[in-house]
Amino acid sequence: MAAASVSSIWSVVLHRLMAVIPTVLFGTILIFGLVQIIPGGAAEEAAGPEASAEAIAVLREEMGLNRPLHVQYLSWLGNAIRGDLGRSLTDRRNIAKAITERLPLTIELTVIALILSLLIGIPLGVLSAINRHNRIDAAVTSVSGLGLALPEFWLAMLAVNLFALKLGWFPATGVPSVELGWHEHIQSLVLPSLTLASGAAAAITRFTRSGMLEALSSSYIRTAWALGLSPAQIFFRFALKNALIPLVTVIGIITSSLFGGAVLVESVFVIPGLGTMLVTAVLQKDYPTVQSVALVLTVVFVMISLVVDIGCAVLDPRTRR
Amino acid sequence: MTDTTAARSTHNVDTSEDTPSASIHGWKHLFDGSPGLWLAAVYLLFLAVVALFGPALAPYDPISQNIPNRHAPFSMSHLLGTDEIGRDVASRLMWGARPALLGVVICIVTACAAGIPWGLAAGYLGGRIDQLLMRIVDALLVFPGIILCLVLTTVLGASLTNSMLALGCVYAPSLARVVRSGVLVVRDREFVIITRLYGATAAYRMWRHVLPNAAGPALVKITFLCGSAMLAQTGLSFLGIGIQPPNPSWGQSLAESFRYILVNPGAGIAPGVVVVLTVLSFYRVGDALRDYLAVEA
Repeated sequence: MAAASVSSIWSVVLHRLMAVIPTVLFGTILIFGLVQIIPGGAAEEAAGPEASAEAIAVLREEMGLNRPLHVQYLSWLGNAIRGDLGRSLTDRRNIAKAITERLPLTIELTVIALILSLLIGIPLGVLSAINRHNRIDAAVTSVSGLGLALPEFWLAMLAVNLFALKLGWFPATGVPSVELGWHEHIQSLVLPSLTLASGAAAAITRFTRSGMLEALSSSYIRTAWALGLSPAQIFFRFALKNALIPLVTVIGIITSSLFGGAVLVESVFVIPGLGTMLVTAVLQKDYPTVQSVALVLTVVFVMISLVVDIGCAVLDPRTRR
Repeated sequence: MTDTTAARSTHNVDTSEDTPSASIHGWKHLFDGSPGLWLAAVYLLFLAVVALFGPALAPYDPISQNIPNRHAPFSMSHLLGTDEIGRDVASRLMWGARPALLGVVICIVTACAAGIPWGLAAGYLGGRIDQLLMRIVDALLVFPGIILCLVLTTVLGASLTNSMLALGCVYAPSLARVVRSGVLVVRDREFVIITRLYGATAAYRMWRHVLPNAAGPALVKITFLCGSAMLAQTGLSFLGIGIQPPNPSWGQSLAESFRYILVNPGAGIAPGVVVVLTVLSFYRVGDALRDYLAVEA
């Protein structure tokens, strides 16, 4: 057993890249398969209850539903790889084009929220761990508990009410594009990203706190105290570094939960992102759009978890196996 | 409940010869020095009573409109005021308790029905089956619950039952993972292996020994999932995917209040507070169970 030897970072990258393919394929089969189990068939659902048999037949032919399943799957997958996601059932729009218009805004919102939640969560977690069992710790723990239990969209509603409608500091709805001015663009993203970050910030606070407590109770920290290092050095140079490794492993899950929260926050602030697109498509039973958004998100999430895995391998050689 | 008591008593077998009364006594200590836990438990109990008898207790019909009296403020006749078409807010919240808790139950039952056998199989059978099952879990955990749930609801159709079934499927892998690690802890312990000597079947061993020992962590996970399910359910009905109007639900009350935020800005507070208290209570109970079970396990 070569357990002691640590494989090089490139072989880890290669290994993880290879694992991406089956995961994405599994996802595509799932997404494709889901639409097949629609009771009564996708064409009947799309045509509506009053449609004539001829209309359904036309739609079936148009949607390519008369071909064998594996042919349908392969042609759908092949088209998707070439960037053709088909047309929306409701407004005949080119789905791929709509997604490329909307995805950047959702990613922007999510990334800003992630950065904010790290900027809020890590210092609070450290503060809480350093002040273990006193009032500061108790206060931070209660606030983070509340943050975990607050629905982001409700917080968003309250924020719209107070900061947009009463105080008028920020716009209540929409995001003007960058061409209309950076200032307006960023200003309109403040409330959505802050409310979206609330849950993630609370989770990061909890993770940082427990990671710090574990690091602080370890033998190398005791040695550092014995050597007479300053508390600042011990807390930030030694304990925090090790405390952040478990945090990196959950960043992927936190990012994907931010994407989930974005669906709701976008609805409250009427932001034309992927979330509002998905919700509209779900409510209108626009299967091709739902399928395509799900497919794009699958690729996004798999990529996020790939980056996180590689990041972990870079930071912590013990995970390179 | 039978599962939990089984878990307690088998935990105690390892350490001491506890009589049943002693293990009941053990549960009592759960509440020691924790007023927050008492509040959470009392609130959840109150909610359960409202869910069961709410329709009989509610002072008004939740869907009868009284347009001239719309957006009424808090008063003795309408404790929490009225909404945009004059319906009594308190009565709507009381009626909403039933679908809210029912939704959580549907979700949890689905998650258990799929997740527990999944985790048991992975942990107990091991080897390639374990690898395959856990690979699927990892793949599914990459997706945020609410998005998977939206996609599943499109296929199944928008209703409370369907969206909560979908949510249960979404939660199943995370429960499976917890059950699996619980199984791995006890699978190779002497008291499990020895049952082979007197010819117990694998099913018996699983049911009588492995499952009760995995039940502690699973119970903690389930309690937290109840809180998450409540959050997700409110979000889904806020989006209009879940219980359909005019039947009252908390998420929908929030959505309606938001539509009239310019006219009546305070209307979203009461339903939001009800939701937050419910989620907080589930999480508080989960925290307490985790601390309590970890101390002795």
